[in-house]
Amino acid sequence: MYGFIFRRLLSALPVVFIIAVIAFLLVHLAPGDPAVAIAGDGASDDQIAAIRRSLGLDQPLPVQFVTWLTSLVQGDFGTSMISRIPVSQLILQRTEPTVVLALYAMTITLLVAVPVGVLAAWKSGEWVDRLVLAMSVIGFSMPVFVIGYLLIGAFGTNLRWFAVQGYKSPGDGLIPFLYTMTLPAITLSTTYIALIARMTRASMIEILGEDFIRTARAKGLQERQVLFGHALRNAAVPIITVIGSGFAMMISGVVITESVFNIPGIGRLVVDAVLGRDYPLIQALIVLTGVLYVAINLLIDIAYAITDPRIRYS
Amino acid sequence: MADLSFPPKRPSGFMSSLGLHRFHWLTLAACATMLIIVLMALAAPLIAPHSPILMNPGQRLQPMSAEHLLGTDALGRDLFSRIVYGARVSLMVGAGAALGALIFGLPIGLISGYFRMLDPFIMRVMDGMMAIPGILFAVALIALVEPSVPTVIIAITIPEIPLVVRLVRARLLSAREEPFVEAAVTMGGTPFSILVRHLLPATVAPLTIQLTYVFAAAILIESALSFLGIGIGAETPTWGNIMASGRLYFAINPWMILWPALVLTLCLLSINIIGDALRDLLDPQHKKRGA
Repeated sequence: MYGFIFRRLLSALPVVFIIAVIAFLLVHLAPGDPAVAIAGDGASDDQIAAIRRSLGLDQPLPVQFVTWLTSLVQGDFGTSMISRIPVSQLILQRTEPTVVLALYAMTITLLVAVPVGVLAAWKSGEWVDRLVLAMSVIGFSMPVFVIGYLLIGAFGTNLRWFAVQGYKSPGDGLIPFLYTMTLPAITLSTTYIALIARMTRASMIEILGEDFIRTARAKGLQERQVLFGHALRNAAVPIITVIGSGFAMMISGVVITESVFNIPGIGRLVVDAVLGRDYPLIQALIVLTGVLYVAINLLIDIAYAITDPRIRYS
Repeated sequence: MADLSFPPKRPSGFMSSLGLHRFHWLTLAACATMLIIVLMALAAPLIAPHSPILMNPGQRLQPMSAEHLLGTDALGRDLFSRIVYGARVSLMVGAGAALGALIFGLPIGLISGYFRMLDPFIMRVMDGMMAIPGILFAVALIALVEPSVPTVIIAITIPEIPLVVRLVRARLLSAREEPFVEAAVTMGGTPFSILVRHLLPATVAPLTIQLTYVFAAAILIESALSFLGIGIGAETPTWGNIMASGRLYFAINPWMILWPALVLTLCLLSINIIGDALRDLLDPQHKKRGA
């Protein structure tokens, strides 16, 4: 078991290294000189040269990379070029809204997608199933900002059931939190619900055709127990995999959702960083989300290995 | 086992003379929608009643009328004309990204799947690229170069490449175990001829399906970038840009966002339906698995 975890951790290291290389090269190989961009129009050559020196841009690329990576490993992501605040501090300030939003959206997703997917698989081929499939294709095809504005139009400006912008943490009380964060969370979760409901359905249909399900039914188990006790547990692996690989999709959704609903989180920070051409911040955000993606998928793999011994040995 | 209920009934009439009876009506509707959007893009100057960029301060925020079919935006530009022209950018970005992902993904996937020595290195790089969310990658690239149609296509294409590489490689790994490849090796085929003549055809079906989804993803990301204000310049009519310019006026006239949103959603929906139909057609195993 520990051998597996160790090997899996080891195999994640080169991926993390590659992410760092990509984040580094992205900024340094792209046409256009960051120093010129920072200096702005009408800067003299001396000013540009000074900025280049202060950023270490006059050093050879490999030297710059090693310097950058070393400070990165020590937790130093550099200083924001716009706000002059350490990047790590800037990101930390914005973390809470994003995490809260993502967790709320994930809760909605699991509460809706899994039961719906199970239902569709159980009634496979019937109208409920076709409805679920149709809804999931539509939900998957709707851009996040379209969903956001539809919800704002219907439940915000018309019915006035929910707030249409801003952020409230759960610490501000449950009612204000739900009032403000429900629309963003639904917006963010729609694509995810479509994806996971479809995956749950596919995985469940496959499992429901297995012999042990027939056995379970034959020995007189209630259908509910067959579905959720026997089938869902065995269908869970591909579903959890999708949750992990869908994390990257979630980040894209967060960027757009936060922009639509004016939530001061990481997603807004991404847009601000790009609009302000804040290179250290962009690099840090790429590295952090990349590493988070690797870490989440690593944890999922380890979770499999703990629950299913077959995976450990293959 | 072959599905004996297929085709279900004797074909008759106009649809069957075209061989269309074999497809679900939804697939046909999706194809028709895409056809309309493609025609709209090609014949934009003929269809659009007004210039998509001409500002007319006297005609700001007009409601729907005979003169302005879908009304006008805050600068007095005709919304219908802008949406028609927006189809050009969306299709160009979608096609460009699909083509780009193919041109770069296919050779890399073939090399990775056939020359096993390079495989671990290539796949780690692809893993690294996949770990970075596509939109973040695109956003970061665009921050560094001036956003224009070509740069946006490049920025959207690069994150899609690993998906194509993985697919081609996976297909190749299973195809190269087939007896006919062994036979080709025995008969003295060079690696190149085996790759091109025997292994490449095995990748065509899954690639076609994958590229449809790349096409949809590219259109989606382009519109998202425009919507966030970091895509193709605001003066170019794109569906995302039209929606972005309607954001401030959403409470007054939600249709400025809803019309382009509807067209965009219909376009993406159609591509996804066509993609699913292609998968059912080209990959019967998948359908049997119930996915």
